[in-house]
Amino acid sequence: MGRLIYDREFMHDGNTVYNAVIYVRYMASETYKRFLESQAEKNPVKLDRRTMSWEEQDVRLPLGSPSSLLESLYLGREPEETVVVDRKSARLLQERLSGLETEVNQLHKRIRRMRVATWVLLGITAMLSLFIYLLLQGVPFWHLFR
Amino acid sequence: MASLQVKMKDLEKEIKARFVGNEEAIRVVLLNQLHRRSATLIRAPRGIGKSTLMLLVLKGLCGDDMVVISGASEVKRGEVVGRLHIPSLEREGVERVLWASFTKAKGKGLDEVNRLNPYTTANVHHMMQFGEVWAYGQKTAVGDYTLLANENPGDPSTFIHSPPFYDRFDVSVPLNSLTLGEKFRLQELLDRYEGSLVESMPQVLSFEELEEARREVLEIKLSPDLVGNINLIVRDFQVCVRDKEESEIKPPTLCEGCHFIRDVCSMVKEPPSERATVILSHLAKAAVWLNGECSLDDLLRMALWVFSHRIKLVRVRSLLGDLQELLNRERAKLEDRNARRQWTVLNELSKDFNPSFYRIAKEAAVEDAVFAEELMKLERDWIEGGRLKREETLSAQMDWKSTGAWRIRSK
Repeated sequence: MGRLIYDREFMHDGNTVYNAVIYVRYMASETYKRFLESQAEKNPVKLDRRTMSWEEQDVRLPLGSPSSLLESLYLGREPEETVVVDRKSARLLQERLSGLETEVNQLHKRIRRMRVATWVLLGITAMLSLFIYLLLQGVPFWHLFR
Repeated sequence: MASLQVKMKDLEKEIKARFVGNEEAIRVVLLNQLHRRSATLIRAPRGIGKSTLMLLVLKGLCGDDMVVISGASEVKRGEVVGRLHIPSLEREGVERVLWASFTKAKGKGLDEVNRLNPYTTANVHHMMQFGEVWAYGQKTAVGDYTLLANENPGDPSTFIHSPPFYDRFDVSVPLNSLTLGEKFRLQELLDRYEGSLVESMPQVLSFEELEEARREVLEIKLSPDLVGNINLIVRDFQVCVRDKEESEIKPPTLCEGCHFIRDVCSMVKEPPSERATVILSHLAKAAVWLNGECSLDDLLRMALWVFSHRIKLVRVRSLLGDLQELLNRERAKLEDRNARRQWTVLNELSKDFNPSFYRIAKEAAVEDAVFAEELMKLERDWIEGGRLKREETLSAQMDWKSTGAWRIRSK
């Protein structure tokens, strides 16, 4: 297993060796090395400058276990029977929903304004059309404004 | 399946035919027989069947070549087991020394080990430690044997034996009382064997066959992953960035303000000895020999029997229940390490220093004391090689001590 290497270093004082210092250096055992290599083989990674990445294998959840809501929303995955949302994701969804609600309210107001404007424009157009018609027919209508 | 394995399975069947319930305990006791000078401790309240199980296993393995020292009778009377019985020698010319027979027998039993007096305990301890005994001023080597002991932890007339003595027992197996259905089965068995459960037990293996099986088990090579998991399980229960093994202050006081306050290490007051690793390896080899495999779940289950008498927890409600909970957390931790690719990173760093891998390793080390220890060992070499400054290291930034890695420095 573990291997210890002892290096003796003798300190000289003239011709006399008066002290010996022993360095003990730990060398990783062969089995330890093989353990690390075996783990590295099973769990390979890619290092790209500052980020480490790897491919998850067999990430399909077993039947009946909870799945992530965000995966089903953003990745289009079929959700399981139970969906689990962590606090961070829930907050993200809350913010998104409140943003959408504000946007919907604004759009409602805009639609209402547009509807009023459309009716006003329709009224003006109808009146202008009537006046033009009467003018073309030679009907004196200006006394109506008196 | 080879004949020795078949015989071990037959032994299990014969014992189960006479001992109701506690099937896992039987499996563990038998698995522990598969290495040299095995020592098993059976713990249970009175009348649960600990002596019966001990005798069944001894008879199944050694037949009549077994001697049981009883803490409740011979030793309790104040006799010293090593004393020669002079009247028998003078009148009958017969040497009657229980101790001599005990040391010679292949099957050794210690009934009510908690009641053994300190002198006997010291002799048994010496035998288990050095494989030799002293009698009549002479040293005698004790060959291979199998030792089974039992005790009732709740017994009021108990001698307090030292932790190193208990540490010599490979596994400690608890027995449970019987369920309703099991009680019916026991009554049927007692009727069938006319109350002679132990007497009816045949010797299934000769001791020579057991020795052969032990040799075969010894030759089994465990996979690096299995060895790695054994070492990780034990180390996770030992590790402490505040060096609890040497510290006068113990958890939970020692853990106040520690970064790992919620980790397994903070729940362990006295960590298991290094012998736990050796015994787990023996058991894993035995499982591979007998069943053809040893999974991580098997290892964690074995750890329960190996740790239970070697460990002291901070808060104990039920030792086995609490230990099981910690082992469940350990399982999650082992999986988490794989999910984080920690060992892959360490493998890369052990080949050569890489700043990117080192940064990732430091992040992982902050959450894992065992990983941090290994990283700190590498850091020392990088500092010596001038590849890293001391103030950039994990040990400097977190002010952690690296335990068990001493070295004398030259000036």
